[in-house]
Amino acid sequence: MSRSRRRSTPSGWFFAICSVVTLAAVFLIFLAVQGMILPPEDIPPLQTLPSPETTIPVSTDTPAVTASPAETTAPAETDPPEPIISLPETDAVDKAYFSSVIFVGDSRTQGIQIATGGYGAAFYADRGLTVDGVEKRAFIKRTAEDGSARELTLAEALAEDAFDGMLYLWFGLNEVGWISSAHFENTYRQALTRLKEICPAADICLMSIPPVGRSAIVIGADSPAAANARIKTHNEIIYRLAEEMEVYYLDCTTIFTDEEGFLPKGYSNDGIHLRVERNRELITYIQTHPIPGRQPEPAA
Amino acid sequence: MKRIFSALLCLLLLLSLAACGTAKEIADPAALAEALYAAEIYSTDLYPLDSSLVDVMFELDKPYTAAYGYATAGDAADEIAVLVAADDTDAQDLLTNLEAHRVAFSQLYSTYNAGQCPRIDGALLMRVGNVVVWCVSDDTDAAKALVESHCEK
Repeated sequence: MSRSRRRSTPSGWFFAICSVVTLAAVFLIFLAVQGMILPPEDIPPLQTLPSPETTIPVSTDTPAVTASPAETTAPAETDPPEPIISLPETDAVDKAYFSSVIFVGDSRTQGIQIATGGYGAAFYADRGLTVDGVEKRAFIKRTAEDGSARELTLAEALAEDAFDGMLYLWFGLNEVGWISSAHFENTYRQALTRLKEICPAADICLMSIPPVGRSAIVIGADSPAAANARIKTHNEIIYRLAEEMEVYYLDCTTIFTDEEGFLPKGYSNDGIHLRVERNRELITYIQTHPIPGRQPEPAA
Repeated sequence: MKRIFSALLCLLLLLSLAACGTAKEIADPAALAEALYAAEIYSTDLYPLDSSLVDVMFELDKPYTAAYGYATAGDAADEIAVLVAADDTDAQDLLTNLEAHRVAFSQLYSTYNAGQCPRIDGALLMRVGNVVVWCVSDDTDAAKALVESHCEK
């Protein structure tokens, strides 16, 4: 009797071990199927833009924004195409494109007008203009019905015109001397919110800022390198605002940056304002990075 | 004989120096503007300004009947304005307007390119009849000589 009990113990243990192993294997297979161990394959890499259903303002105090034309109003069964933020390169559009464009900015923007004429674009630009001037600085001269001279802010002028064209905003350099980058971001956000309220049918494009040259003197920066570090921060803010406010972004930085992060030599006499040929290069660049859906109709 | 000859020379010198002092007008402001633009007295390239830009660039808020303006693409303070006023009063107003522009322009450049300030502070600003001339250049004397060469009695 004891011999039979001793012969049954090893096989019993073997059966128990096999059972445990089998059960464990079944359990692991079950977990894998449920996705709790294997990484999901649909996690997007960090570099891509968020999907449409997540393009909502991050700040809780940002007023609700209307959806861009590229978005759908509700998530569909199949994901709609992601909205375009950074304008891609295409074939150059006809110069008639600029007849619906208003350029807004400081003396650098005036430089485009002086150097190129803007191909028919309108320019609401003034030396030293900063983004808070959108509502505060009355520099746009017009004549009233009685013949008297008037000066309007950008916001007033656009409201008067019921503008529905393309608004290219080029701010961020003069603001290097502001108290903080956060103040620049908040002010730019406020200006964009106002502009979208005033001209909801207009397309807005935020232009990034080229760096300054090695000889530049920028208020609020101890050196050109320090100024460029601040400009880099401002450009990150500008891109972030373009995403948040669902407007377009034009990278005007890359083409005017050398390998050390400065405006290349020969591109400017003072390290800040582009020479004429660079302004012409810039407006050609804008021609090859147009706002989608705004290409002019071919002449009959 | 020598005394008479010397007196005549002095009289001639006085009359020539008084040429623009008694001049009544600049007959062709457009030609003067072009001559100033063509002069090789600037630090960088100048470009003709569209009429819509004249008021903005020179901070004008006084009336004029014609304006000829040139400016750089922003990389230097060089600029030219030849403004034609309707009458004496408007011309004086424009002169005052441009004097205020000089101050503000110099103040602006002092914040990021102070080397331009002496050029602005010493720039040509003068009135001949109903024409007011403003010119920021490397050679104010040469600019002034050009203006005087376009004077008519």
